Amino acid sequence: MNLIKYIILSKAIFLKQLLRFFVLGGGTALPGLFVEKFVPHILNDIANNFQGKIIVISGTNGKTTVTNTLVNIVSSNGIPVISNNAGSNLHRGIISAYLDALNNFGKFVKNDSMMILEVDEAILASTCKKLKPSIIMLLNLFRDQLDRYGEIDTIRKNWLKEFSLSYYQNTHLIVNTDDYLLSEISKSFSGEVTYYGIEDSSLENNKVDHTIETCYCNCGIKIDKFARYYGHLGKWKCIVCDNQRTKPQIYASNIQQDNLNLKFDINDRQDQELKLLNLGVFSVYNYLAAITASLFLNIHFKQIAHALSQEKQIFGRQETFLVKNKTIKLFLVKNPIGLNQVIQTLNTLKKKKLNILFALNNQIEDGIDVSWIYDADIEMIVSGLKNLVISGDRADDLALRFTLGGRKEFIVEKNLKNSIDFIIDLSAEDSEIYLLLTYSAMMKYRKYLVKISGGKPFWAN
Amino acid sequence: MYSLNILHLYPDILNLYADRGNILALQYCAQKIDVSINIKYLFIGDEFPADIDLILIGGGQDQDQEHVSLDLIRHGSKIKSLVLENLPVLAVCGGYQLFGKSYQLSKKKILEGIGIFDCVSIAEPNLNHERFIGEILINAQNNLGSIIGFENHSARTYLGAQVEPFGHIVKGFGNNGVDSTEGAIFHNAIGTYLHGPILPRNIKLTYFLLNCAIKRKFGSFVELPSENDVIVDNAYNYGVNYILSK
Ligand SMILES: [Zn+2]
Repeated sequence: MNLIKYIILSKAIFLKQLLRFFVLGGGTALPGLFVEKFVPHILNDIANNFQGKIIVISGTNGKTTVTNTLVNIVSSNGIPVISNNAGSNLHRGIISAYLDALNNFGKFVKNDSMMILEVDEAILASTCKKLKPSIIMLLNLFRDQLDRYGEIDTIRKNWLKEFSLSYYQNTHLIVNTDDYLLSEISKSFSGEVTYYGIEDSSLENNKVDHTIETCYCNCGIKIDKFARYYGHLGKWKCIVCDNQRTKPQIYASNIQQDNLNLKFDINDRQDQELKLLNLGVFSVYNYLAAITASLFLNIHFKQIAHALSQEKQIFGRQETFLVKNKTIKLFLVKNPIGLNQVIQTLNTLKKKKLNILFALNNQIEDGIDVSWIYDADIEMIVSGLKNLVISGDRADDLALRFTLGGRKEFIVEKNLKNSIDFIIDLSAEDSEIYLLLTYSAMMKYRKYLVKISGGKPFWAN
Repeated sequence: MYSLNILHLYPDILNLYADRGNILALQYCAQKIDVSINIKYLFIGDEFPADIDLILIGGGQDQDQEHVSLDLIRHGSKIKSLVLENLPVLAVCGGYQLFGKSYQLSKKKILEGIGIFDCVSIAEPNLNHERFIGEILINAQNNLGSIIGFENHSARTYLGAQVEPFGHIVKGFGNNGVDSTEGAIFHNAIGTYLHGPILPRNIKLTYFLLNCAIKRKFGSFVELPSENDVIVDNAYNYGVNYILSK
């Protein structure tokens, strides 16, 4: 490392510590932004200087959860981990994570560590080109913040172009076999591929989401008649040619859930049953991705199960707070399929009617276009509602969405503190409250809830 | 009670920008003016149904438009004759492009449109093209006034002499970012890049389309609700102010 880089790096490390001290929870990407500006080739430097395995995780939904889960499993097995696990998934977040792993002399604190990074879909190809990871994990592709990405087919083609290069012949791909949109990428991948998926016929007749991605086989036929778990995910198969889902090597079966836990078996083995905290079929996929990677890293199933039983809460992802004897659970909602999955999950909690606060923002990180709320099946939650408080910068649009969806009783309150007070006061003693929050709303509500519940900020864990 | 048949074209393929919200708005407004509506769908390969009073078509990714265009051509002359009889149409984004004369996807590939609107659309007109993305506000024809929405398109559309723009840009990009026009209007057929979705956000446009259909079928307009609809107005007013403040 040359002198200039060294000086910039040590300044960034100092800046980072300074920020940590002053800014609670926020600003995790700032030091990286500083370094990125001065050292454009820093990602190449990471690739050259870092000796351990680099694992890169991408996909529309579940990146943060999978990254955190995998970090928990790997580190509980004694392997030091470097990660951007607070959801800071652009270049500067990755560089921040790297800085974290350096001492004040710009050298790695631990040489035997592993780097586990969540990477935004839009920069995945360019990041992998520089980092040349040993494992790439692709979770799913759904319509997300179209205003930011353009069309999902653009991302898919960009991935396909990059990952069909022989450059990746020594890289291992871990992929969700139930997502048709990832299948061409896996088939043209030059390295080894491990497939994971769900094998559970009891889920196959689920209500079909209203808005799903259209999938066309290479033979020109629309792939649409197959057993779906949700969205376009399922046991896809072309009815004309022989193109079909690859049987997963690692799969979840016998999926069950109640109000508190999710249960499923790995590869149909009852001695491989898991009982977990996060609910919903989307959570099965998230756990499954992390488990598949762990098994590939030669971590024994018993150790994986043990790490998962010690599960920590993940920042803003089904995180729970206790305020005035009422349980408040946070769900991050950022796109239609994600929201539909949350709605479906809440609908399975049949115990009582639901108390919901929904805050819709349209900052850059939320996606500036709020039309996605019409793609989501809001109608499916209307009948199960007890109290509804609507908040966020775009509360008026959300109120209109609920009105058109058939719900006319709600409170619109754009002030954060007042909106929390309303939902807490409206909800019965000992009841559960669910907060549905877009990204920037989640950051603000979470911070406030940490304050009033006496919880700890995330990075202190 | 008046009853209308609404035809939604290719809802399974052209469903990219939450245009399902347009159906919800039509249902909501129809109920307010005591009109019953019946939604019909047309999928690839289907025959064109009889007794249609209003047509909706949304947008999709380029690949989806390719699949739709060949099928849509089969119904082109039927739709054209209905439009000439003043049947109202709302064609959004990709649907708008296919209701024009042509959509050029690349140097080699041109999708033929059904020519309701005298316009051509071109994807990636030059190497440095950018997408037109953001909130948009236009001053629309037919005394509709300010219409708001969200646009997200890489294609540029150029109008010919036989068609009027749906509106003129106040904020945003519109057809091509150059001539300050947005969309197209021909008889009661409206083509536009505005989603958001457009009908919930602009209830007056929803009533306009319903009333065009009612006039065509039953001979006269119906009266619109006189009382304020606070939730609808709040969302519209917030949108207008938000866009103008940007
Ligand atoms: Zn096929």
